[in-house]
Amino acid sequence: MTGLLATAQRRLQDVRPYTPGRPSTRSTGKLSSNEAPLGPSPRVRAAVAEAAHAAHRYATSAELRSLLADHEDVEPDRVVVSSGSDELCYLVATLFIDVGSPVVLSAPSYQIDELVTRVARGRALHVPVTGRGGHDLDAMAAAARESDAAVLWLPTPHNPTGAAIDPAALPALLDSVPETCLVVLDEAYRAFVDPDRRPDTAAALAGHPNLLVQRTFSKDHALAGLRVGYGIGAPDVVEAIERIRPPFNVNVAALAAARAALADLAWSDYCVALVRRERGRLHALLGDLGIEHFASQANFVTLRGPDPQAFADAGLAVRDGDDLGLPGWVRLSIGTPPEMALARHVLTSHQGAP
Amino acid sequence: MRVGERDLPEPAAGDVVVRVEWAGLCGSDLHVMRGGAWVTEWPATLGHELYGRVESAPAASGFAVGTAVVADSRIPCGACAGCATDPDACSQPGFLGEIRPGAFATRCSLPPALLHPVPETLDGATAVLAEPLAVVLAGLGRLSPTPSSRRVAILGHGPIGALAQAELRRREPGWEIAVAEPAALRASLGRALGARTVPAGDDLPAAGFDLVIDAAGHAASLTDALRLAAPGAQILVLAISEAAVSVRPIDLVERALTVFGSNAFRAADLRTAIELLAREGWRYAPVVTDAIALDELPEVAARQLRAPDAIKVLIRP
Repeated sequence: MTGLLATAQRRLQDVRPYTPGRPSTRSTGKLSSNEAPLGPSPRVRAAVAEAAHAAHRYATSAELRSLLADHEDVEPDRVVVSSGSDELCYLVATLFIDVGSPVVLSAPSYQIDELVTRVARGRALHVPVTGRGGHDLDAMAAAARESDAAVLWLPTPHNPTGAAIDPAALPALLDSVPETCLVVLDEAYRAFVDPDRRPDTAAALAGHPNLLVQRTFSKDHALAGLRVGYGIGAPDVVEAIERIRPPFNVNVAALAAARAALADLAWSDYCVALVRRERGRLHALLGDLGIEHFASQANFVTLRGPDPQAFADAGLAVRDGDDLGLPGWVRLSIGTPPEMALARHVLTSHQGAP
Repeated sequence: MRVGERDLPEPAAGDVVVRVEWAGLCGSDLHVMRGGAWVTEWPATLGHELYGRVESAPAASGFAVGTAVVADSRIPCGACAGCATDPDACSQPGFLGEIRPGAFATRCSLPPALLHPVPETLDGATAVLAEPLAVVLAGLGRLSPTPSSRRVAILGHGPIGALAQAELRRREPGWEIAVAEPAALRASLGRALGARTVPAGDDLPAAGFDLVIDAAGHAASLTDALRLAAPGAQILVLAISEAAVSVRPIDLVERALTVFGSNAFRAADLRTAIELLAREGWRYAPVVTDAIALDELPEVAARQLRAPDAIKVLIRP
């Protein structure tokens, strides 16, 4: 058995299994996985139901690729569609990380970036986040230069802290890392960022062939369970990823849902507006109560307050910071207004407790 | 409006005491706050949209302790012709929170006939929408015949206007709906549910709609509704306004318009609302934009009176 698993065990020696967010005990109250509280739009639901009729067909993502290119105002050869952002992370690691390749990440890092780096047996170089939970871009760039890094993972807003980079700092980072270092700018939570704090990725892509921007339908478009993500990058980077991705990696229901979601942006606009309202209320309360937290630009807030059990007692599942490299913290996804009223009650009661 | 302690009146014989888990703030609560209408005894405990669990109930009520319920907000007058045959048909009901202490409280005492059990699978913060959704169902149920055309204007996208759009979308996903709503978040939900939105009724084409729903209730909204109605159109008035409106009868005649009002609902509408919420609550739950603790209510209600930006506000006493 040892012989059979020798290669696997070598690859797995540093790999911590992924811990998903805990389910709630009820139909509501799952604030542990940064999902969309209202779910997909009525039209997306109808599109998914309709897609059932094509379940026996292999589907290609060519049409979605073209729609996304229009949506992002780039040529289709700059877009690669994946089964969620996670698959794109695996594909990037497979192509760009050799055994022993230096790879720059923040500490704490996003779990999937860490996981794929270790599976590829890259050499992870961790740069601690700043006191506000943001990436230390100067230190990350220096680490990339000094090590001649193969990949620099840059989720912004960062998960698990929610801190977003200063958009004005992105060009300087891209100019200061080696041209051979792929910078993966994961913008899963971009829609939740204040509009004036969103990086100008079009300009950055135009000048930097080593930039790959990641986006997802999981958050503002509420398709986490269907798995659709995409990358935008230089044509040769995209072509390389295209060559190794599984040919039918995005399923028919996911393709139909993504198409419908792109045609229904008013729904995600409203959902994002509600999340941002609730995030503002939560930040204000945390400030009033003096509870330590990272100022978040994402659809979650990570704080050091009541433990996960206190939330569970109120019917709310939250993410334990232990799972995310932040022991003693909890990450609270922004839920519906009623869920957030319960969460605020937990926080207020905790603060009032002896 | 203020929050304080007061004793729950001694429940009348046969009444059920409900521990309120969610209450909804309704436009009519704001109407009461504005002018004191309808309330028979001050200080009043307002609130007539209620979800909670039975805390105590006489055996004869048929309710077990712990049962999840929503309330029928209508208290039959007991004196009208309708009441003589069926209290559900009362033409002049009083309302919970107006003629008896209401839902903006930790507990509420109610006759069992006004309580409807809801399935455990239905989240309370969605179930509490049953009462306003019943108002919408009753209003749409008055349309006769059901419009065959596809052009609808909804004036005002507060809780009632938004629930009306959500329900029309369920029934007729392909209809063209236009919403007149100045408040940004309300208009945003209007678009999210598929409508084209404009800030005011003035911005919509005259005689362009086969069904006009007045859910705005400001001085000009019925005037707007009459202007927007196409020949043969129906106008459904759901909003409450005491402002006098001038009507040119020739408009009614030449365009053969039908104007309906609709007051509250019947018990069957409330049962249907519960079924819809249990089956497709996701259609309606997006109207809840705010959920607050009881002690936040005076400030939030005052803000809604000044410049409404929320859609449905829920209160957790």
